[in-house]
Amino acid sequence: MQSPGDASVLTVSQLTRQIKRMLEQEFVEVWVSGEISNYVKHSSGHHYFTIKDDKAEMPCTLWKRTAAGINVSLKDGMKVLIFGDINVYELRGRYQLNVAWVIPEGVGQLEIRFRELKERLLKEGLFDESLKRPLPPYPNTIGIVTSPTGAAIRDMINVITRRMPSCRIILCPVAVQGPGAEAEIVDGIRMLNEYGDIDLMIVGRGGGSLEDLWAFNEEIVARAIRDSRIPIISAVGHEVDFTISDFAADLRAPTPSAAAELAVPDRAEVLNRLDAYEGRFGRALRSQLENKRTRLESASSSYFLRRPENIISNQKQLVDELSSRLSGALDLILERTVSGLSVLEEKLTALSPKGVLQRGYAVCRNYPDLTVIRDAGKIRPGETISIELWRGALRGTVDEVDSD
Amino acid sequence: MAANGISCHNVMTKVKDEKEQTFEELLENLERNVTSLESGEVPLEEALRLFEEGMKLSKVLRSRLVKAEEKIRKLVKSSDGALELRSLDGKAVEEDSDDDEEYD
Repeated sequence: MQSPGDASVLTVSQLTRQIKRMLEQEFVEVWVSGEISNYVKHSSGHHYFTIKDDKAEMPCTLWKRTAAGINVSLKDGMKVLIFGDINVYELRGRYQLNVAWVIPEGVGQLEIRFRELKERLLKEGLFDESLKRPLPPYPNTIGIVTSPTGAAIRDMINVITRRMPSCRIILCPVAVQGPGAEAEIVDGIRMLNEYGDIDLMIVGRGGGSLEDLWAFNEEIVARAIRDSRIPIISAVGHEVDFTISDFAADLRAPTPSAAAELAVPDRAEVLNRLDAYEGRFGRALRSQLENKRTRLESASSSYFLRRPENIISNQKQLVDELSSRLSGALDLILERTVSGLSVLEEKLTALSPKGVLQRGYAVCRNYPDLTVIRDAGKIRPGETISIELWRGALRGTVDEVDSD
Repeated sequence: MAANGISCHNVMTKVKDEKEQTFEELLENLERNVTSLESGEVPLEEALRLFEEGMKLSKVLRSRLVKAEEKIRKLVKSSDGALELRSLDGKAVEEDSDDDEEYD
């Protein structure tokens, strides 16, 4: 070997820097699978460990700030997928993997299965918006497919019975995780369909890891949801958890409690609505009666020469009778209405002459003495009359009289 | 909601089948009655009938809302494969099919 000239001799630092530059340019954003060993969490908050397979190993660093964003607790023996960059630590002359993301290996496979299934069912049209059914606004009976123990069923029962105590709940108890859970969920959905007398179904469970929620990512569960005759709300895990079941269901609720809120209306609101209807009924009937009375009164003054008086008397009697039955009904309504006072105010307004005028009636008077005109036969063409309206009054000359 | 085969226009049918009607169907009848009454274009006798029927519907709806009984059941498959309702603690219960409709 030839002795080198001075110019071609590198210092350790120089060589290391060249190696660093080469490695760090070449190995950016790599995925590595392997098993964790020699795991240490330093008091500084940084994590150090080795990732290895049966033939090689590589030191890894996971900085405190990165670790905070990774929701996985690492331990020796764990099989993981690591995403990161190769970094050369010049001081010790070693290269290491600077970790940006860690996925436990099993989960990585689940995530891949999730994406593939979602893609396939989406293409098939199982998630089409056109398949989503509207939920019944006032369900009488709600079926729930979930675990009989745990917070989810408790929360749902609490919310439903608080909002709508008259709603029936039929629980189909199933395992929601572990082997066979998906088959039990499918069975539960079918049993409630077979039972029949159910307006709406909630299928779900409380929060958990991706593995815990996995049954709701199984194809048979998604298909059972889509095949259900009864509309289904899915409620799996927390807000951030999306499952295949959620895409297949008629509606996705972020949590079981939220599903219960979506399932039933609040009774107090519905009762308020009934109050409002009853008020409208009372007002509408009163205005009808007043309307008829006014017409009857004007008829009784102008028709009496042609018509037998008794017809009109009978009609008047009918109106009087109806009025008294109405006031009985109105008393009931008033008792019920929370805002009884405002209704009373409206009642008074409606009964005053101004109230009648507001609805379009007018009072016709002689001018200038302002006596009320009830009979067209008493007026001759050319006379001046005054007409009082809801707002303001009109004055004019009579062109023609039809005293009929 | 779609009509369940009951004619919406036939008043007699509507009243007769009240117990089989869903809450939203009854509520729709109520809405229809109040709108007709408010239109002011019905004869007096009809107006009164609409009013009385509306008040009755409202009463029925109220009673459906306030009835509260032991309403939580679980559905299980018995050994012969038949579906049956049990209380949550597993006891057999009478099928309470009639308690839904007693609101008078």
